[in-house]
Amino acid sequence: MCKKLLKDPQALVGLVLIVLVLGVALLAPVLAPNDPKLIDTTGKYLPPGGRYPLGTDQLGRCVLSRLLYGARYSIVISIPTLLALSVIGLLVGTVSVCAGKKVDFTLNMVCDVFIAFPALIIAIAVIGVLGKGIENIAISVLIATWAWFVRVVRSYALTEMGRDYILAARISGCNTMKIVFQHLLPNIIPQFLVYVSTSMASAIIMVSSFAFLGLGLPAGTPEWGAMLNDARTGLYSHPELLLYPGLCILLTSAGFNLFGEALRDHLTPEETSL
Amino acid sequence: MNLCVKDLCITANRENKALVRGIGFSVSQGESLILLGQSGSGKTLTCRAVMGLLEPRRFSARGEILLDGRNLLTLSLRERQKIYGGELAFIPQNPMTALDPSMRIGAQMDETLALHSPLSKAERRKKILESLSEAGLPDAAGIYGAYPYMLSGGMLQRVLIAMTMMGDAKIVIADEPTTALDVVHRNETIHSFLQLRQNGVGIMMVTHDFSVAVQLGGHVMIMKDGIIVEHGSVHEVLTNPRAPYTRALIAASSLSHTRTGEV
Amino acid sequence: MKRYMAKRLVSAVVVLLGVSILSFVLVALSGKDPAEIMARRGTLNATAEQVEMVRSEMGLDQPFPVRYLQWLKGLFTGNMGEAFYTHKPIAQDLKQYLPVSMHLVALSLLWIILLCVPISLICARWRNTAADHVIRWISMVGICMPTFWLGFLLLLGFAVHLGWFHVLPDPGIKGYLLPSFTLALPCACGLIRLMRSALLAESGADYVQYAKARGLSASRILMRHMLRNAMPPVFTLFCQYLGYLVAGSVVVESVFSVSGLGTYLVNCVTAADATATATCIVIIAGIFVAANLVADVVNRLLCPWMVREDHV
Repeated sequence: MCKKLLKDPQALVGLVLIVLVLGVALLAPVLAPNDPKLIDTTGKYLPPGGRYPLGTDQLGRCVLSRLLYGARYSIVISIPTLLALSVIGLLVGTVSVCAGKKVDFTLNMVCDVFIAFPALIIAIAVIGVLGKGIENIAISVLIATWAWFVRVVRSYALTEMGRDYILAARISGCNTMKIVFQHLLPNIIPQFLVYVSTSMASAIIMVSSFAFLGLGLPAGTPEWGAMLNDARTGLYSHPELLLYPGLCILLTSAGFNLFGEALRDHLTPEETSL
Repeated sequence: MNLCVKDLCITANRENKALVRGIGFSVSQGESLILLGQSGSGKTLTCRAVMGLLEPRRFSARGEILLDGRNLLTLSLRERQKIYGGELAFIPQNPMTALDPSMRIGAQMDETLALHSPLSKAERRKKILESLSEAGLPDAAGIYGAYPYMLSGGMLQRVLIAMTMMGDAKIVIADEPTTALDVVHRNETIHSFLQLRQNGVGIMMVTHDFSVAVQLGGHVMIMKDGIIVEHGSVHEVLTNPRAPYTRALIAASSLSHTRTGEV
Repeated sequence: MKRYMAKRLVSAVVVLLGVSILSFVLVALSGKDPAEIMARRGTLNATAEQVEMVRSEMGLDQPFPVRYLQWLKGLFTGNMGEAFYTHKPIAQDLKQYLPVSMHLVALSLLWIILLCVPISLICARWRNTAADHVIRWISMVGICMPTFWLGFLLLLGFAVHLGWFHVLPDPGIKGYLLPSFTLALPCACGLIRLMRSALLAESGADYVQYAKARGLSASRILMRHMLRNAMPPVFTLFCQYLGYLVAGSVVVESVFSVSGLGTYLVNCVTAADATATATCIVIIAGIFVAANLVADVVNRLLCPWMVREDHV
């Protein structure tokens, strides 16, 4: 399975991009030539070269260093959030399916309510309530998207619970706990991973949208979305400053999307029947 | 009209494996031919090849499939589309999933008929209603306006048979038409096929159950691993099976039970 | 069908109620005290008594459920009080900003339909051809594209370099063209991918095989049969995008300096205006719930067999 996946160019490109971003995030202090927050008003908009491989921005900060550090914010916020979301999704989703009709109905209704709020809107409101801060961005993404995760796990679990082998396990005397851990979870986790991977991509875009709107992060933070917002003043004079951060966001989310889609293609081959 | 298959070979492209290896047979109007074998013997593939339903990317077919001398394997797509659903009709395995679930039955019959006949809309409707009642369906007008999910499997099977009748099919290819049905509907379906044959339609039916062959009669071909191991009239093959495989098939069918019951 | 619609309507109303409670609670939890903000606005050094006076004037000293009910009543009568940030009645603000966003969203939906339907049909009809592969890769880039970046790229290309548009919005429909396209593209790409795979999933169905055996042409099977049966998930997502587009317009409005509901909402959040924020959120969520309801009902009109599956 894993070997086959690694032979797929799409999965490979995705994986390389993911590893690249993770590596950059981890090694940013080593890789960055300059301090990303160091303001040098005498050296605004310097062209690429010398001390600044990609030049400087409107406050004379090193663009390359800021881009490298930017990977940290996307990853540091997205990965723990996605982990928490996965746990919530798997837990609440399976409980919803296994704990009987009333619980299922209630949880479903609650999910409906949360899903009715577009994620960006609910997150904006939550940040408004909680104030700025990295952890608040994570919490707002959590509140905005947990219901989707529960919904997805629930639908996978419902399909899986309807299958014959679960019935067979029931008849042969497995209790619900055993069915969930031995049969249900191992069978839904691969498809769930696909969802997690593609959600990671949208979480990264969402986080940078907040930073772009000036919500959640203090001014001057080297986050890609925030850098785009800073660079908009130079739309005419220095458009290249707009290009870099966007390209970083694009490549990072593409990594997770490509990998997720390749994984899905392997789990559900398109031509199964005649 | 006559359907004649000569030296048909079907290969799976990816695995490069011959699944049907040079079989031949012939069906004329008013005759019936039963293709018998287990799943995996290549009988369904043969059916699909005749109906042009093989996925060209996955399978390639060689040989000749002649309908009155026209080779269906080399005929242009447009020419073939004129033949399929008209002179040469198909009855699929599962009547419950054969029709578009979101379109009324009448509309689906009408679009088929419109392709194959120059009749006006009103005439087509009349002909469809006629063939629906001819196929033994009581409320033809009701069925015309119904969605497939509203009907039972047996009724849908008759709709499919009505569809072959309305197009004046000369040869009908049926792929396991009885498998998805219960015993009562099964007998009714075979009865419908007998009636079709009496009206001069040639029938080629694929099945894995010898008892169906006995009920329908005519010729039978036993297929195993892509080749024909035995053929002859149903009576001959049943009373005097030569190949051991044929004996096994007869023993496995519901016939053996009824026979032991008789004894 | 009627029974289904009644059931669906009731659940939509319940969800809307939940939505209104949640959004009210959410913004009421805010640590900032609106009474203090209002009082400070009049006199910089507001005394505790002045703050209390403003508080009772605004009805903020009432218990929580009473405030909720008053706000709910206000939603229906159009009397929701004054927004901190504009000093104008909220209803009046909405009248000004909501149509802007609605124009933007409506035009985006049009873009999505124009892009999605023909392109997915091409992919399904000529599957695994060069065109199909190219479209798959482009749509992959499209779904990874952050809207604000796309907006800047379009501005850069069409406004700065080609000079066809102005960086600040042009008057009339021209001003909406770039923002709506920006908003639409990621959605359209997501929808193309979904519709392509939905169509391909249909192509393995028995009825498609039988339709071929009835002599129907591939195009006819695609247009008359597969398209309709592949529609339900696509249409559901399309309607859900309606809610997403209203939300996404926050970002796009910022890029193109359009002042619509999104910008208004962000400003209300920044100004810690609980009532105005909750009102905006409820409107947006309401649009989403309504769109979902429409999707479910239309899907069942399109594919009548779905009704039967609901009862089982």
